[in-house]
Amino acid sequence: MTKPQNQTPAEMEAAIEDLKRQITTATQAGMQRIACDPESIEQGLAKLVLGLIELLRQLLERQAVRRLEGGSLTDEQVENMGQALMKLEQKIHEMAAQFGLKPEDLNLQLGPLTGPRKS
Amino acid sequence: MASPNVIAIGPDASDELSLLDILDHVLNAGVVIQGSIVISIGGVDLIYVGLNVVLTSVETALRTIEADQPKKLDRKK
Amino acid sequence: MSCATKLLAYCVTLGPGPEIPTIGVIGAPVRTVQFQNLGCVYSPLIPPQEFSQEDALRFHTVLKSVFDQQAVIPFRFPTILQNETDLQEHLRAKYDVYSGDLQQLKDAVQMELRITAKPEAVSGSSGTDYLRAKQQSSRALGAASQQAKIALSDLILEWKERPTESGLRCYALVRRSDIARFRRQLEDSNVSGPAQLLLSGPWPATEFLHD
Repeated sequence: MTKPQNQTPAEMEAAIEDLKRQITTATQAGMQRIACDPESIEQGLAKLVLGLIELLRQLLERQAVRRLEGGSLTDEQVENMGQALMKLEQKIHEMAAQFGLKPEDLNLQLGPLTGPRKS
Repeated sequence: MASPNVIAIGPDASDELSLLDILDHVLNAGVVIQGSIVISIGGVDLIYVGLNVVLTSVETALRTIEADQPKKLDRKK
Repeated sequence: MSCATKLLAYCVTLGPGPEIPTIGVIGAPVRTVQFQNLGCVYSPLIPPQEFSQEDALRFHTVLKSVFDQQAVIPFRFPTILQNETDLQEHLRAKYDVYSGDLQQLKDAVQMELRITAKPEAVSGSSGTDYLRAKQQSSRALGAASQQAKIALSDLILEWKERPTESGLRCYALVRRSDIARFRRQLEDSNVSGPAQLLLSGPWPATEFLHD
């Protein structure tokens, strides 16, 4: 009970620090390059935000599958959980589409800005 | 007889998949020195570098929290 | 913005300095510095406004030429320090961790498996069907990684798995001398089920460091 509680907040803090650093850098890089292309900044931000939401959705999905495997849920609970997750996934796709993003654009894959993305 | 759906890529090859893999390792794996100077990288989705770290940490946090709950039997190796 | 020369760090090694290539990122020279029995490969350079993809690939080439000879602890690209003094200080501070890990991982490399699932079309179904489909997919991935793990069990020193948005990513710690066998055994294993299994490696054993 002691060790996990000490590790987790510190890990999260370090992760968030790193993320802040990356966002600052990316923003600066964006500012330098894109005076004439505000759409890219908007899309870049949308990708970031939706990417984070998608990340959380994946975590929720894994949690849900684990609970399903656990076998302690009623049929009604399974149905409700499934409905909620399904709607969340659909909503994320809709929002992404509004910014001209495809579902695979939200994947946390690192790669060239131009060119096809692969898993 | 090779398995039909096993594809080998690696740090030697120069096809696109391998290049993506190389970039992923170079930009995501390896030690970070706190307080080192930040230089941006052009032509790469830099944003996701940080997100990978968040993914790992949130996932680790969840696993840690779950490990605390005595009823949980499922374990990741 | 200063124009002073800074330092790009590639990796840490154990023992006397390895053979290093002459030319590094942005054409800078490649050097080594020692702290007790730790070596660090670096390039003095004036950092550009922005590094390019090509620079990242050049970094990889330098790293690989050292890693081909021995175990390394790589730095993430780009890791820029002010000067050699800061680098020495870092090595001093991390001495126990770095030397411990490098000693332990001396003859080991990291092989990676990316197992991806077939994407499913799930809209329009019931919540239960949706969740069952996700469960099915999750089980198939787990089964595939188990199959692979069993097929390679005599070669695996350590194993880690991490879920990704499209499947699983597995990291296997393997003896350097077992790399070819690892590839062959995996290909012969006929792992079935998921859409694709991508084998990648050898890489430095970054997943098995203790810092």
